[in-house]
Amino acid sequence: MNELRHAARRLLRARGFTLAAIATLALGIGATTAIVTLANALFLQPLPYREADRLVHLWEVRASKNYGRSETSFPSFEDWRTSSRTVEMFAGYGWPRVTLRGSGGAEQLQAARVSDTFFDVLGTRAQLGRTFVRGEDVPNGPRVAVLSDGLWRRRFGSDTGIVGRAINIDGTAYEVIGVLPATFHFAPSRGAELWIPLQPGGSMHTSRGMRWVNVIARLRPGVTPQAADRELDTIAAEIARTHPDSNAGASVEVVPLREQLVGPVRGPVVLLGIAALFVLLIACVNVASLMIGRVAARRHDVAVRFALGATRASVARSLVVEALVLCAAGAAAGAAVGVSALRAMVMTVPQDLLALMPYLRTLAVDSRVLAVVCLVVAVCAVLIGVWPALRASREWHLGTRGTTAKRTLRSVLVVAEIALALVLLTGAALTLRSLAALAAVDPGYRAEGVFTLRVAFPGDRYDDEAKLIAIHRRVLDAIPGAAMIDKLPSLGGGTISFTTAADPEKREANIRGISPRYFAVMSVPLLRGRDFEARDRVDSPPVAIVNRELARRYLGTEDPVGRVLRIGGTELQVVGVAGDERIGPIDEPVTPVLYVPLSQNPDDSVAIVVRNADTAGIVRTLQQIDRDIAVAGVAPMTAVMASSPAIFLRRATSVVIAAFAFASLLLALVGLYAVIAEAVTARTREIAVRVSVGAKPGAIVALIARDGARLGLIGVTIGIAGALLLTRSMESLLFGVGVRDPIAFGGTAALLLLTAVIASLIPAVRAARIDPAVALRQE
Amino acid sequence: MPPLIHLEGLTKVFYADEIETHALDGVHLDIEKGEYIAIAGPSGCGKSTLLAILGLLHPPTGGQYTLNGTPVAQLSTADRARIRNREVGFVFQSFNLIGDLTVAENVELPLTYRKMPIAERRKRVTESLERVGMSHRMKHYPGQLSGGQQQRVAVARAIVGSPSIVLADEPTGNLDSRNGEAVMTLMRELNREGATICMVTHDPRYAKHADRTVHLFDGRVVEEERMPIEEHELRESGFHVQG
Repeated sequence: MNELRHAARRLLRARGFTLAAIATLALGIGATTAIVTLANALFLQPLPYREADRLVHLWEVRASKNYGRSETSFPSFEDWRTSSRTVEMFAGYGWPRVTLRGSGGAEQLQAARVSDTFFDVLGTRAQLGRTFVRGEDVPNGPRVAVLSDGLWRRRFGSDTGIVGRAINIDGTAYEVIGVLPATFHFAPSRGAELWIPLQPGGSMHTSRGMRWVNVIARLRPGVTPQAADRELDTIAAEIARTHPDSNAGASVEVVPLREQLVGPVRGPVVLLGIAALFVLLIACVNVASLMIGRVAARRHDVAVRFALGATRASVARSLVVEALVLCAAGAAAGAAVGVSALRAMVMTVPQDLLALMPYLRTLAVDSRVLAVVCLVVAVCAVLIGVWPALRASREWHLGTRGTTAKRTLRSVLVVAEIALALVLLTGAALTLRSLAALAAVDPGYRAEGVFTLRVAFPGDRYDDEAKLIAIHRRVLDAIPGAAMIDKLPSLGGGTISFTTAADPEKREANIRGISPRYFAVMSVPLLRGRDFEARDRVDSPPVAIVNRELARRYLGTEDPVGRVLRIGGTELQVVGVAGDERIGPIDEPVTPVLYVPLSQNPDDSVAIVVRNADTAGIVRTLQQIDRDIAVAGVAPMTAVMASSPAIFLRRATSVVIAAFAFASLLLALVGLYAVIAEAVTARTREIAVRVSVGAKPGAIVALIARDGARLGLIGVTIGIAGALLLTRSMESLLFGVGVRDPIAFGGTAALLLLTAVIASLIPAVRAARIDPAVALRQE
Repeated sequence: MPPLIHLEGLTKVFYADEIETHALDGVHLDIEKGEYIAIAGPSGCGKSTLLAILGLLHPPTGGQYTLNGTPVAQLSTADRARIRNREVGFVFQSFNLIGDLTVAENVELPLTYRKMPIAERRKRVTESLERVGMSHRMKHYPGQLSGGQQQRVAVARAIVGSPSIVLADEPTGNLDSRNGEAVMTLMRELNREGATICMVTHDPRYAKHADRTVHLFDGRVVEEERMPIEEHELRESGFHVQG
């Protein structure tokens, strides 16, 4: 306790040193704590499901068509369910948007249609009422609904009498049968707030070509995902044998549910973890360097202690306690700031993305995080206290000066700092260049100036094609310059199979329903033929516009206009060819896209796109047309693009890594400055001698700056080697830039060398001003 | 023939916390080429300040300073450095050799600032070290030499560039009497070979090695004394002279 008090007193006396050390450690420990908190939420916190390690997500994979993972058809889902022995229970789900109407007005909600086993698979019970029971998910089954805790509180004021009451969903009355617990979330359903039974009808129930069912399953106890994967592959092969037309080459991929939930962010989080670790290391190296300087300054004090009978251990202990106090203070400041910064960052995550990452809402500093922070503090204390203390106590005890050795040690530490900073800066440069490459990708449309609104028409009022077509036309007539699309570009999804007369093999393309003028609003060039027009009515021959990629890939060299595409039993005549609009994520290649007119394929949920318009005025206009039209997602198209996972995750990762890299650069700058300044002090007499024999000021500046540059060069060389090794793991996170990008490597190396020279310049100029007459007279 | 160094009304004022300290207060002094002069006086009389001005380490506050016919009182720092490098050699009380450099590298140092070819530098270094009897220690570091040896190396460094004048600031101050005498003898020999030497000392025994002693007091030259011819000759012949 005495040691602690003395350490605190010593540190309070050396305020400048203490503040610098605590601030530096806070930076490192804060960054680490933030990332540990994030990693804890992602990888360690239990999922809110019973025996979650037995839960898996199933995907159909059609490798032969190079189509990757997809949902499966309802008949295949049924086949899996009846044939599997490794799976205890299956559940299917989809995630439609619905309109909830009532006293609070019309509101678009994310909903989930789920099979009756869904909550049993997850092991979730309702906090009020019940969840679904067997038989409720069949076609034309009962209209029942389960509410999320959030919706229950927000829309129904936590009314405990809600169970048994009817609510209006898409114009149909549903009976509320239960409310889910507040802790429940299921990210794959996009943060659904309302749960209704699957109840597939028509071709959704019978067609193997319509792949729309997402599947989760609970494995039998002791069954591994790999074992289930093998068995389901066998089942898929049997389905493919009996239904080659729709299922040839299909297999099943079994993904642990946690992996399904956190998979997309695992890479960025691991990268951020490495970056935070580097910041921590750099901070420790910096403070260790400061400690060595401080230890040197306490020489006299310690000599007195030795003279009075102190042992090496007791002297070393006093330094270690000092280091521990510094680390604890750094941890207290850093952890609080780090976690607050993390929570502030989470606030910037777009709602749509947050729905996919619900664990971000409940970031907690729990015992696991605290344990890691304590461990970090202990490691830091060893790095910055024990090591310098042992060296110093030995030196003092033996009565050696060790000044040169100390300077060499500090130089080694600075080289380490520079090397670590270079690795971090290179990582940041690669992610930033990746982001720049992404920004340079031509999406095929001009998003600037385009505003979007998601609109849902009440299903009970617009319950047939004619009514939907009529309301579409009314809306478009009321909003000058507006157009519609069923699902905005950059969001992906919506695929369909088609054949042509010349090619009976089924080809796949993204499909979008659009109104006339869509291409004009989005500035997508119409390369051939015509746009959709008023004459493309539901009773006129079906037409389509294809993008250039579809024409290039599937329609050969002949003019696509006039060609016929067959979708199921329907034939569509191609009337135009549009430019390549990227429907999917911006970082994926251009896909074939088939546009159909909304006037022939109306949808009750569409997006309005309009250029340079008063969106508030548009909302008012829509309310005047029908107050039950639900409007959501009013946003500029640029924001829609920016909030897509492809861009947002990359940007967030880049911003954080760049911040870490900047911090490390500053620390390296300060560390190098301290070492060079100390070297100048130690070399005062040498510099004076050089001046006395005729060295000009420029020669002295060059002499000192050369020292800084030499340390910088060694650090940069080591750093480049480290970066070449470490950045290989970033390959999957990069876009349009190689892991050995010469600009990123060259730029960061030049920046660090420049930093090294800048850090040396102030002490170098000071050196050139040394009064040799005074310095040379000093003993 | 004009003197090598001509000082006229030289002043030096230091300012610290609004206090003016007149370190030199109108010094008139001529030093002839090939002369051996000692500057003596009590502590704080301005000896070291005068030496720093003579060596172009400090500019004077006022007065005139002509070195080898060139006015040098108002030169820039860089020009002073250039002239210092060619015209002045320093020998300090505490040797001031650079510990990380070898004996040869220490001696070579002034030549490195002249952009002289390496071969010429090496030749001069060897000659200079031979001159002081230290050529066998070329590869050693200063820490491996005795005090007397270090001062010999410092003298070699002072003369390697063939300066117009060697300025010695208490060159025996850190040496025992035997080594001190040896260094004094070396300086005398250098002077006999033509070097101009200006030595600051407060020890009258060593001042008597010079041809002339200038006494400073409160920043002024208060007395000049020339060594009697007989005594001088005796010393030159290696006899120890009492008093």
